[in-house]
Amino acid sequence: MSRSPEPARDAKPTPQANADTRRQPAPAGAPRPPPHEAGLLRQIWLVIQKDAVLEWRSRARVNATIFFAIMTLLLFSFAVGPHQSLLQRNAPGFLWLAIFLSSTMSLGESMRLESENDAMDGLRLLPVDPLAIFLAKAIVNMLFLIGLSVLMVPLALALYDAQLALGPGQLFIIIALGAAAISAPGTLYAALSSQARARDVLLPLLLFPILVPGLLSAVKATSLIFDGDPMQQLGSWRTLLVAFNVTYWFVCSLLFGRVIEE
Amino acid sequence: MRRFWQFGLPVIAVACIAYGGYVGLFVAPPEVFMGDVYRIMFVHVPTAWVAMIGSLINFGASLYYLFRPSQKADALAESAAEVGVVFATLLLITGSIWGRPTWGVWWTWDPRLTTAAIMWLAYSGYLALRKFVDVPEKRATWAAVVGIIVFVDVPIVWFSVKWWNSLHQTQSSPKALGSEMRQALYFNALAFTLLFAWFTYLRFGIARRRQAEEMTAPPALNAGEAA
Amino acid sequence: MNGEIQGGWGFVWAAYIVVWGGLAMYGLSLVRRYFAPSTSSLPPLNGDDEGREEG
Repeated sequence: MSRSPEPARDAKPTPQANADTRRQPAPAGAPRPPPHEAGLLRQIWLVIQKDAVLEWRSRARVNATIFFAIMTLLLFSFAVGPHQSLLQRNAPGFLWLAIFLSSTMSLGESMRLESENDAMDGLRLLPVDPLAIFLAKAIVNMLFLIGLSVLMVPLALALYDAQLALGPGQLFIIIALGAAAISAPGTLYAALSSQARARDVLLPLLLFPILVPGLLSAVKATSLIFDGDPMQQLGSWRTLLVAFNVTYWFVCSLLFGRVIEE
Repeated sequence: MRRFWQFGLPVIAVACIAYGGYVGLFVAPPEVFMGDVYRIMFVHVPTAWVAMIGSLINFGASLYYLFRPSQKADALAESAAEVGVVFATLLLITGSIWGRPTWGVWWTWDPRLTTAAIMWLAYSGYLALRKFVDVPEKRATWAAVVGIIVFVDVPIVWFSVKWWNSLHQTQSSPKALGSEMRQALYFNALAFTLLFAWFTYLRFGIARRRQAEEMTAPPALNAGEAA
Repeated sequence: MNGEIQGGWGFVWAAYIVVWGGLAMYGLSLVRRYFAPSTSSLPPLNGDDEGREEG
């Protein structure tokens, strides 16, 4: 495989590389390029590797996002006041709001690397299916959010004096579903807003209304996990989260290509 | 035909709204539980109806655009969204005004109102996106993508909010409507739909003209367009 | 909910005025924009808020 490893090494395609690959025609109406050498899964893996390397190089920003999340949790305490019962009751809401607000930073990050120095052109000209690009970036975003949430949970439990009545396993499932729910539309909207003006405002503005059902479900499910679920409602909320994820991973996979095309 | 759309339709629409208002305010009898306050329904419900039409048209035009990029489809999508947002704004305000005497609060988390608020935000975001993208083809494509995502979200939002609120549901709305009231409601809905059609027609024309202007702007101002 | 709500006409009028007034204002703004003479031949003076210039 001669071409694919290059993107992992060169973060920003040189003008020379761009000039070479630009000879490949890719206008919107032309027939699709011949079948790729790599299957979809391999392509996804390659893009994940590329992004992971770049994220590691800019890990200062990753750290900053984590500190932002911590700060948000603290801010909620200060905003609400040191009333233990109030904090405890709202702990799930605060936790998920912190994750949501932090996601605007991490999501933008995944595309920021592409839009700096017109690397978006480099992305478009990779011999990689847009579907693979979307899935790879969405998976990376999801993994980051899962990691962030896993760090935030103990902090939230401590700050708000909450307990895990139903155990960490159930919570992890909800965290994974919630992170996935944020990532699918989030990755698409990040790709979009990174190419538009006022990108910092546009991403949350577009994303948050869409995510409301996910937020509702995640918070409800988490509160049942924290406080106990006498009426067996957790399954319903989990189902809603799954339905949300299935819908949006499917729809965003279909539409992502249109967002990054020339 | 154009004359009708430009001048005839508004006359009919305004006449229907005036008559519909008259019937709603003075002719329809008071409701059993809500007395005269329920009359707000005659303007509140039609705005919901029209906002939904706007959403549907936007979805259709967006979908069409992704398969067959047509400037007309883009203009229609933009118009339907903007006019729909105007009606949705009125929906939220009248919903609030209705809620105050009925339930004692300026806002309730009733599923319909809550869904309306979320969709109002979503479509406002759609309109904001259009303002922040300068390249016409990209603007149209991305707007179409967002329009589809927003529309797909509507049933999900509806069900999630319904579920979410069912645990605390205490409010109820007028149950059965008398036939007189129903007729008045349908007529008002028709009147509002006619007005929506006229607004969308005008807005469509405005959008088309702006598209034409974008194409013929002096070369120096086209520096940002994709080659 | 127990019993009839008395009066409330103030709210009814408020709602109707908001709706009719709002629709009238929006309609008038559309008419103004629709029938306005085209100014496309004139470039924007110093960057209007539509921001045709690229950053």
